Amino acid sequence: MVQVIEWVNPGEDEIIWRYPNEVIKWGAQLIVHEYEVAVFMRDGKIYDVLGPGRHTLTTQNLPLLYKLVGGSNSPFKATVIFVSMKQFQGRYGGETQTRELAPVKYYGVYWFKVADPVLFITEVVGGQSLYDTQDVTKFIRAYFNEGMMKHLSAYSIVDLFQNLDMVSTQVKVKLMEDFRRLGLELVDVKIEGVNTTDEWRQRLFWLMQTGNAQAVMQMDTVKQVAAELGKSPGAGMGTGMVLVPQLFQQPAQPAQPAQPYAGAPPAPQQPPQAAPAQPAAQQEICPYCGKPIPPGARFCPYCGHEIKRCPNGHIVPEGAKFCPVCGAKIE
Amino acid sequence: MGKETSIVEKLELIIPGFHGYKKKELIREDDMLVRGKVADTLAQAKRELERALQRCAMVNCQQLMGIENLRKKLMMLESRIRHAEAGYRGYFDRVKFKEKELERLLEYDAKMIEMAEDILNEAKNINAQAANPQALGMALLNLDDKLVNFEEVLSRRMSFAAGE
Repeated sequence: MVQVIEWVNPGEDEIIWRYPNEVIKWGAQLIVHEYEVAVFMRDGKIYDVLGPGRHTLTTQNLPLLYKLVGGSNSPFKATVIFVSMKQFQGRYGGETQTRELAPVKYYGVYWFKVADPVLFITEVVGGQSLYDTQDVTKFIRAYFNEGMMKHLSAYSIVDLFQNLDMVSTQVKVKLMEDFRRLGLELVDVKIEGVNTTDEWRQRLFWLMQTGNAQAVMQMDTVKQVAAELGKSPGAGMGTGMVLVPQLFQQPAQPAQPAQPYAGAPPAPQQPPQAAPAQPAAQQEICPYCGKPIPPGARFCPYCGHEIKRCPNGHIVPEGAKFCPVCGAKIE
Repeated sequence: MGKETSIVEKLELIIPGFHGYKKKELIREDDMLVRGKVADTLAQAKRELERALQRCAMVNCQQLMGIENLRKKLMMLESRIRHAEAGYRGYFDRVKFKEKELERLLEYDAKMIEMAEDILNEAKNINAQAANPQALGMALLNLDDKLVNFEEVLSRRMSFAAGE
């Protein structure tokens, strides 16, 4: 009876399958489908890679001969390994940071196919009888994470969201050679999602709005102070009124070093240096919700509270008789 | 390595009523070999574009996505040509495939060999122009044109193989 060798019903993620019987009779019929190839090994050596079609295998296992030489255990071993040539999908994911050191989590999919079955079998699969996409993903994960970390850290988070296709292409270009080295072809890489923490998302939003990292850090500090003050119902409002405007002050410039006295007559008076330009308007913060409000605003655009002011324009607590900043009487 | 007819095949060719079937089979096999050659040439062009991609990423050129799109197109064409239908109609089909029609398929394939060589040269050109943005842009457009023409011929071949 003719021995028929065929990979029947390959699983969705199965890349290779080794025909379990190593005693392949002379004249066995090998059926290879269009989407696969078969690697034929005889006596431990790779003889050929057979493409789609029907092939007649010639081994030394002639019915009489092998029984004569080896008895029940034939020394003429032959192996057929089927390799699926379709595209497979793998998943990746990890954590890194962007150019502004914002932590980002990324995940996505990649597609690959076997390009060189012999290389893939000898370099990656070895003696295993079944190899699937999970095995490849496990094998290749470090390459992916390294490539992703390198490329994502070169982008700012805004550029990253705007150029996801470019980033994925660059990662793909970098990884192509790694895949080829294993006998695989990296068909495509897609980033399905990039995410950062809520805290960083807000921080980056304000950074984009103001373009001033110091202001954003000050705002962060004020928010934290406001949150802490909110825990103390008695002292919260009054202390906040005093503390919050202070926190919004620009840090003091370092003083000019004093000139040592040299006994020489004083140099002619230099014309006064032009004072450095003051920031256009000091950012104000709502004492009720802690969010920044436009200078001179009478109502908070976020929480809607009325903002009480003294005649000099300082924000004062509700019901106060005098301004805690300048002492002016409140009408 | 050579392409020869085995003794069994020679016998099949002289058996009355079977030799026509066998001759068609041999033409189909030839067609597959020629298509394999075309697909291999396109695969080589694809590898050239992959090299161009790497060079482009190295010098940070703007055409990375353009090259990548052409690479995908080449990949699609390579698979289409490699796994194209070989022109088979069963006994009960209304449309039948005769030897002459199978030879027309071979003619299409031969024409595509020439086009594939042209595509390969253009891909090599792209690879060479990776550091020259203006010439690279023109080379990309040229390759795109060539791929479109190739796809047209391939579609005509497919329609013919489908008996249209």
